[in-house]
Amino acid sequence: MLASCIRAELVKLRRAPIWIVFVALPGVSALIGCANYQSNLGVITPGWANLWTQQTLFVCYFFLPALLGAGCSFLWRQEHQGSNWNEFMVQPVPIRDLVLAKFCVGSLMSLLAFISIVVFYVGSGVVIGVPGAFPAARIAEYVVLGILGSLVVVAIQLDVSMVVRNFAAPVGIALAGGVSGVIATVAGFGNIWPYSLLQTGMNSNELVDLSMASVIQIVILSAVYISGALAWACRRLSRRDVVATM
Amino acid sequence: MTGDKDALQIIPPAARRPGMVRQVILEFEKSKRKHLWLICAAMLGVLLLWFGYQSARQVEVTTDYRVLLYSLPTVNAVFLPLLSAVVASTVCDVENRANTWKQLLTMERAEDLFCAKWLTCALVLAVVVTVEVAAASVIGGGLGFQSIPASECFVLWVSTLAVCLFVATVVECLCLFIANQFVPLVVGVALSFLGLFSMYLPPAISVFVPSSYFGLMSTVGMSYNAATGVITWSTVTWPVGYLALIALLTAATFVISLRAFARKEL
Repeated sequence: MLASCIRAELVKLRRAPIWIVFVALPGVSALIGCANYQSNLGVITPGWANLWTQQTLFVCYFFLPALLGAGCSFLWRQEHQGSNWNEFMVQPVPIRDLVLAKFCVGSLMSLLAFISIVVFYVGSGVVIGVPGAFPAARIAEYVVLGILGSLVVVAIQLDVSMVVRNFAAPVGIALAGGVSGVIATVAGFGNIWPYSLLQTGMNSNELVDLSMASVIQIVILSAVYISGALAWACRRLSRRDVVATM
Repeated sequence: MTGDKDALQIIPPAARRPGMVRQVILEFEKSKRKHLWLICAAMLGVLLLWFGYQSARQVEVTTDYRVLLYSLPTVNAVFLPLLSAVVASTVCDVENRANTWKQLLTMERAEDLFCAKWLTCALVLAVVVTVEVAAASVIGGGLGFQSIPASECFVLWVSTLAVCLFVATVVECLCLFIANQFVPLVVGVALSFLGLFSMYLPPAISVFVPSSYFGLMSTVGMSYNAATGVITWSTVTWPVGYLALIALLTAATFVISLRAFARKEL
């Protein structure tokens, strides 16, 4: 059932411009970060670590949360239009699968963004000839934890977009969430606040210490936030009356 | 026949075209329960929180009010393009979702509808920018900075609102032509993104990025002496040329969009 629901969600996104944006924006960020890295070689220590900082700093703080917010809004927007909400609710599948399918497609958007980030990072690093050995293990750790953190954002934004029947408002909430994540990280709550986990995982400016204990904490809290958000969405859909007005 | 004639006379011709004020009020009525003011307040709250946090660290170095005028456009470049896009999208998307274009245009002229939506966005953004500038002054004063002169506040208000109106005009145009609201919102995100990055680019390049005008129209210059580590703030003449350019671009976008919208089959 879940596989059918995911297929249905993907069909709804057919020919939507959404996928291009998740590839292009990290690409633009990588290009600008690369130019910034090159022009500041006199100030910074040349190496893969600094290139990672330059390319991902602003993406993970502000723009990836906002982009994921827009993606989640897009996933729910179709259900909020016309009588689609009624049709959505009477599908002969468990509500859990409907919610999980949206989460899986949201996760796919996040995965695409991270693939784009890594491809541009490695590609641009090779092209400009960054010195030193490529820190494969460290980057893999940042990417995996970053993806996990981004899934928390996806799960929460899906809840927001499900409740708020306005396309634009959840995107603003996502940007505000990203900034609240920065503030929480600076205040020392980077391993706790849901919108900080993405930034902590990607560790763009090395504000946090990614020790084994921190990694375990991030993994556990991400799992708790994701399952909590999805459980809340299922519960709300099961218990609240259907409202399909414009 | 007499009955039909009476029925036709019930609606006087003047009532078919409500005035602009009534149309703007109608737009505000439509945006009820769309959380427009709430989302503006939330984004403004986070913007001011960030600004306050930055300023609290800088007040330990200097109490010069120009620090505030330099850092506020930086924060604006991240938040206000997206906030402007959110406002424009919320105001315009009402008709897309309810598919009321044809019905609306039997009662209102397309030009009037376009202007009413633009004015609604402009009013909301004017309120947001006014509250922002006032709150920034209060935060600065509360933290111990010198008070910002009223003339500088006015310059900041005009500069900030001008850029917001340009972004809102572009996004309104996109919202009215593309039913998929993902595109206008991504434009807002991209403008925020480029606005932040443009601060690291030379003015010759950043002049092509609309959201970089928050910083370009700043009346404060900053120079850093790497040898002594001292930052010096200076007052620069208000670059009115940039204001004229952004106003011209806004007017051109507005006129082109208005004409295209009036001719569009909805």
